[in-house]
Amino acid sequence: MKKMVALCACPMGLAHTFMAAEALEQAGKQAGYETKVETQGADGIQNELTLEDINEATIIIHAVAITPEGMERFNGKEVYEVELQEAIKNGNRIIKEIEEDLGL
Amino acid sequence: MKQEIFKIENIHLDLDIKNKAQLLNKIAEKAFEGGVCRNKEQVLKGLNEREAMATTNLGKGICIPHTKNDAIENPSIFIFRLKESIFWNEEEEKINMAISLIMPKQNIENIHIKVLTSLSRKLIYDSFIKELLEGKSRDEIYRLIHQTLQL
Repeated sequence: MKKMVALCACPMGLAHTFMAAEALEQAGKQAGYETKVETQGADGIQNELTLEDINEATIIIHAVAITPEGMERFNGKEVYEVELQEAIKNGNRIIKEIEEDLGL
Repeated sequence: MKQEIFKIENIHLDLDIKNKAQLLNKIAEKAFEGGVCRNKEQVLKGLNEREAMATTNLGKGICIPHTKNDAIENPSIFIFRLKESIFWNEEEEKINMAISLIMPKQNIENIHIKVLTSLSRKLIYDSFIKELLEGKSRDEIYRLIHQTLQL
């Protein structure tokens, strides 16, 4: 199964991080991806992406408004950066656009 | 004694609020009256600082002003619904309801964080928002949130 991973983090780590995570999870699943979304919020790092997750992923999304921890995991990878608000409102469209960009 | 994160007294309906400043002030006032914080002004300052970073307007009639703040003693969820919609910021959809998350800066119990994060996750679902906007009474909204968050 094709795989999508995402990382979400907002300044307070209370609201937008988790809204974006939920939106991207739903959008990823609907588009037929095995989806794993890491959150870095008030509850620390949850659902942490491993190097294996990242290596296996066809699509990698960052929806972050702070500098998250563990950015070195993504070195050399093609990462799509989106606004948190955009991820929350238009998860499906974001994935569609990335697929088009990747020629999928 | 451990306080509940969400009480029926934290729901305020049919508020006569004319603008964003009044609503943020009302949130800080109710947080203070409810014994959630030591200092109203500091909460108001925190809410304003967060708004200055980026709007908390989610569209669909809801905004989520929130702050993590030294003056706050008990993590709490407040709900404010207005008599009439107001502009939160220019060029944004009007809002009719605020769901406000008020958090201490440190020592937040994990169980409370879980409640807040699961509430945030629910906020992307139009059906949940619609039920909150259309709930007929404090009781109805209280029950809806309790059920949704399995409090």
